Amino acid sequence: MGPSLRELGLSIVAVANQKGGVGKTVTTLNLAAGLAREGQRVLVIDGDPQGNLTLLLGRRAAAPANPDAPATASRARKPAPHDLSDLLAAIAEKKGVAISGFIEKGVRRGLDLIPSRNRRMRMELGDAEIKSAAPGFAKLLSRLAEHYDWILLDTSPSNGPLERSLIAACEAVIIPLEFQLFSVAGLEAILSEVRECAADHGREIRAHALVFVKAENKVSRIDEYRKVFARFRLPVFEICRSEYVPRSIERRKTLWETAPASYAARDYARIIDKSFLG
Amino acid sequence: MHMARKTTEALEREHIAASIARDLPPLGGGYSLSSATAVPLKRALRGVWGVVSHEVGGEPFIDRIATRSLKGIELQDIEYRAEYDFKESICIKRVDIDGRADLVEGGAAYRFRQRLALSWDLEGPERLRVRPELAYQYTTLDEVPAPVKEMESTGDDLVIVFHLDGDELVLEEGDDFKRLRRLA
Repeated sequence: MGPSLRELGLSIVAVANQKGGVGKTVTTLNLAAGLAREGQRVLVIDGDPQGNLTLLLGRRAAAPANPDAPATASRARKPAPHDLSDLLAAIAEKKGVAISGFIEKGVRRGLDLIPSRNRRMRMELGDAEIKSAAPGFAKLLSRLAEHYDWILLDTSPSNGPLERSLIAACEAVIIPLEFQLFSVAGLEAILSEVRECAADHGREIRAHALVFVKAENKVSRIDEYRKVFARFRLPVFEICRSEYVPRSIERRKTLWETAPASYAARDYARIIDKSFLG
Repeated sequence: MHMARKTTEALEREHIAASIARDLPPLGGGYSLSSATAVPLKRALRGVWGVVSHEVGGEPFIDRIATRSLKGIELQDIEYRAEYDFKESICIKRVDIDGRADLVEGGAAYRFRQRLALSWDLEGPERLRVRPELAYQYTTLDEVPAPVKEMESTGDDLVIVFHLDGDELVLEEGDDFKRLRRLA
């Protein structure tokens, strides 16, 4: 399947596709949690202002203090006071950034999170501010990479300055998609965006693997897709359609917590084994 | 021969894939089926399969053996048996060839045995990626054994195209075409 990211020395990875509904957040969640389960130190960044990854992994704001609550409750971990939106704003304003204020430590064992809680991030920050934050954000991730084995970024289904800034800060991109013509057509767009980001920032960003989600043999023309992509020069992984995926999301859990022996979990484990750890 | 007409969608898909592929760097590819597909397919492959027909370059393999097994000496009365024993991730290939070599001094019994251990995995829906891990073979002529040759893995993978055709397994490797039937 080609060299793994570890063999290539690449550790900052975006999960991206401009098309929505292709499983970016679920893929980011299960890859990040799966890597942490393998004993890796992982930072996951919710780069989608919708904040779905934060909803799945992050801590909720504490309820108003209850004077009758046991003393342990006050020691419960709190959400990070700031999120990605605040981080990009601080970088754009060239304020000194104390990164600890943006990271929720230990949202799972071995897994930290930079959350996203501001759905108005794009409007509040504006394109110019996001663009001006891009180089500083990339530098910050490079520094953070010294403290983590992996940094994974979830992105939103768009190709605006926010997504380009996030991709530009990465060393590699994993592209989830579906067995659909529109999805495959969108692949061309994301690959070209990755190339443009790399050219704009004068660095290599590797399109590392394709991940076809919701694979099942009854999908129309799946064998034809498989034949076409089996000859592709990018590693291709399938994740089977599984009832455990929506079920785990409803419970705000990872597949590793709800169905570690499921086929879908095994499929994510294979990506981790072959494409990340090698 | 009937040729299925490709749908517009199929053409479009292939066009897009080809267009994307042109811009891709020469990375290693590889296709990993979902477990839900791969597990039953691997299960269907597991077991012992015997070769029922074997052609190389359109010519029966047995004819090749007759002329090429011994340098310049033709073999007669050839019996060729080949089996593939697919286990979880290892496949044992056994090849037995018996025949009679026409030597100047008279006919001599010829025997060739090869045992090959291959690691294997699916690579997509119709390709097997195999790696020879260890092999040994020997030839005897007129019951006089020659030393057993042991061959170690070169670390190179081979890709074999396969499909299940009813109760038969078809393996294609370049111009080598085998049809196998389940023995166990």
